[in-house]
Amino acid sequence: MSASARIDGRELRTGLRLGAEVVVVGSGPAGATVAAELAAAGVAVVVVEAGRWWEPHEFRPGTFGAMADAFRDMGASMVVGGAPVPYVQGRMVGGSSPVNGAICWRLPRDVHRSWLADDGALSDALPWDVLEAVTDQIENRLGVAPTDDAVAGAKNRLMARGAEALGIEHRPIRRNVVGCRGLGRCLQGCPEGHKASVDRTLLADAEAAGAVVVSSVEVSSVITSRGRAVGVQGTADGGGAVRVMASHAVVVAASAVQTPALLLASGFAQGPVGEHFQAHPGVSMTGRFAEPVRMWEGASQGHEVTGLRHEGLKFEVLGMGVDLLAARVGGVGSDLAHHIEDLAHHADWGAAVRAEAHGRVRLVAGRPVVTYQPTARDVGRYRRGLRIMGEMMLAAGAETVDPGVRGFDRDVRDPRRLRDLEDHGPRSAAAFTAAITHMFGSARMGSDPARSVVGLDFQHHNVAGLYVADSSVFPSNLGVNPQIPIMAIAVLCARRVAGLDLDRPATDPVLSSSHTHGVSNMTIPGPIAARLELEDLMSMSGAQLWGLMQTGGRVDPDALAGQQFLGADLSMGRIGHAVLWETFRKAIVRDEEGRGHRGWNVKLEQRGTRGDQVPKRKRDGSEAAFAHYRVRTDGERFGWPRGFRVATYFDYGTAGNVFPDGFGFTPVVTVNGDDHDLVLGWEIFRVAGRFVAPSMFWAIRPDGPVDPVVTPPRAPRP
Amino acid sequence: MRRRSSRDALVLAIIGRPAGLPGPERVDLARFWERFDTLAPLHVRAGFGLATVAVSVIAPRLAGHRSGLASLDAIAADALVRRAAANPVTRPLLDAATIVACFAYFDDDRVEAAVRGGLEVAIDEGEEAQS
Repeated sequence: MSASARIDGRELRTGLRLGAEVVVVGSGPAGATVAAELAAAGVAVVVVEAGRWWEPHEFRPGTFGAMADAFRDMGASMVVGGAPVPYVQGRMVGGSSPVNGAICWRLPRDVHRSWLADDGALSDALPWDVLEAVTDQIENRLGVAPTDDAVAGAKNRLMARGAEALGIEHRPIRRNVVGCRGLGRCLQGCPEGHKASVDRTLLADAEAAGAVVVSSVEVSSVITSRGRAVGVQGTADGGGAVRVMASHAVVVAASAVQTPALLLASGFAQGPVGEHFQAHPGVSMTGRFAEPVRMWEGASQGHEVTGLRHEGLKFEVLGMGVDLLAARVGGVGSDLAHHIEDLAHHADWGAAVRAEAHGRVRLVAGRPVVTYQPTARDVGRYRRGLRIMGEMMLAAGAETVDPGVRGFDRDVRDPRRLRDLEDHGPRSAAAFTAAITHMFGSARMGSDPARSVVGLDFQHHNVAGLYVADSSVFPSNLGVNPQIPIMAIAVLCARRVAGLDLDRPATDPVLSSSHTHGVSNMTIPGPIAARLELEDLMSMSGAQLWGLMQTGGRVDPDALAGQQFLGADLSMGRIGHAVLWETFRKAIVRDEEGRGHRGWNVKLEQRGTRGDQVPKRKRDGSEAAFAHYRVRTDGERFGWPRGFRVATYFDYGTAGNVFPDGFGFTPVVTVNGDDHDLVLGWEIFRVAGRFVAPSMFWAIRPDGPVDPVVTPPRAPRP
Repeated sequence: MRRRSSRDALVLAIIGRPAGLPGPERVDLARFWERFDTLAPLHVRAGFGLATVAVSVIAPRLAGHRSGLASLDAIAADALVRRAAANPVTRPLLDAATIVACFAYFDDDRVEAAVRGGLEVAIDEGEEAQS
């Protein structure tokens, strides 16, 4: 793949502005799939990912290293509810796929039927036969196959033995791995690259077809113009602002937590965004076996028990590093030391619960907060799951099992005690040690805008050109591992974005696809320019305007000369606008004495930004001009606040105003690339020799030739 | 420095002295704490800090010791931390602290390798004398 198609946000110290036909937020299973499908159709795609690229040799064996470097919040993001439960999300190129268990499940037919039963229109949006065909293609691309017994290891064989003894249906897990050697480090990242995670497969396909991947950039908002999504803004890990403008669509694929958070941060609060958060909380059981288990060997998660899926329970061997296993076996001090000596004899299995609880994702102080409380029935499934796991472990030969339930035995040897756990164990979720790894539903799709966030075409009900592609669109949780269904549904989203028929793949020879960047064969109803207008900036936050400032283009004073401009203040708020002004006029001319350019402001009757602009008049009938300025281009010599760099600025101090020299400056940038159809200014003051920079912005757009030319009250200084 | 010593002492007490593996006092915890302090989210650092204060500083004094956990011998430290694990107030703190302690201990590649490889690690006479 081309190294030039990658931009590393860790190296971005200044602003970066990019353009594409489609920008995809997130590079996990959904984002990578959308990018691959669109790029194959010849669409110019830019993928923006918060995490960084990882090479296999960088993955260390310890869980802490993986969690600290490659997961959000060190894998300890917590839901808020009756019991604090961690939810785990990868933060790297590939999303969680480089550090998940590689477990692959097709979308269960019964789940699909339940979706259609609730909203019959989904049968057109998610046709079963198309999903099956797409899933076949994905599984083929990822090399999905049952775990080879040669790499299963003792831990996986023990689960098979236990399930067989109890007569519960079980099987080797189907995984997306190629050439697995059973290193047991799927959850820390395979150091030999045997996991066919999406960064190494679908995203690689996207890059080969011309997609650009921008990593280590956290997208903070979606940009809109006239109600249409036209790009995204964010901040690179290196400190620079990033803006990617999209001429056709913005596709958000940032996970069931980050996607609703981004929608809320962008002001798209319509519909149940963030609501209906669903998950698969998992509980786990450790057991001590006389025979060596050596949990760190063999396929990390190579065997599963499927026979109780109808009860909302699915069991799988857990893979984890030695450090986390040590923390799971219980005890402190000499007790823990003994367990650590004995670690090779311990197994840890998990039960994923298809919970019925609905939670919510909200934005608090700019950060996502998830509230989630398992229901009483969900807790009942915890108890049942632990009972079944314990019975399987004992049947497989465990000497003792530990359910890890507060207030219950830590050393269980009798299956009847496990029945007691199910029947009489704690009713509070707080007594159980659980974790969440699969999340869904927080921007669900549907035909009714009152009950869904995106429509049957994955497009936001209220924002044209904005699509959501990840598990947040799922009408419910699945009860099984979701990465394959996520990818399959993301393919359908991509085809909707591109205007393709759902059953026509991007590589269909009927479409003469081109891999040239910027050339598209999509059936789009007319070209759509990804440009911003003055009115778009008037609804932006200070943070968004600052982002535009950092990614703006250089202003050429000659391009402004001879024109007057309609301006709008972007920061003073309603009170400031009522007391002072919201709209104003600026005019710029070449200095009559050949010393560059100068300009002035004119007060306007406050009539908004549409329609004729009428200047206010002084008593003598002349226009109410004020605040003259020079337009200078030596701004690089200044140390502007916040490390900002800009050449062109308005200098109010030497222009013949009545207020002190050297008091006011306004760095200016173009908003739409090289075009001067929209200019953004940032008000900066100098007090006692130091710059003071409140977040005060204005913007101007051309409004005809200058008439009349106004002379400043005093002779301007050079 | 005092705070670091208290949390080191907590890790040592939680881990105990697994036979056949490098003792936790031989592990370079400073390298782990540097990454932990930088990368762990606030609630994790705060939780471990609370556990450190509760078990390393307060609990020893409530148990009649004149100083904190760092000054206790191995037997007294073990007894104290096991008592704290049985206490319903400090148990949740210790549950979370145990995860951090295991991360810290196994962050040393020698420990990880010793467990995976099943190797015996020689215990020098100095350590035997101290215990």
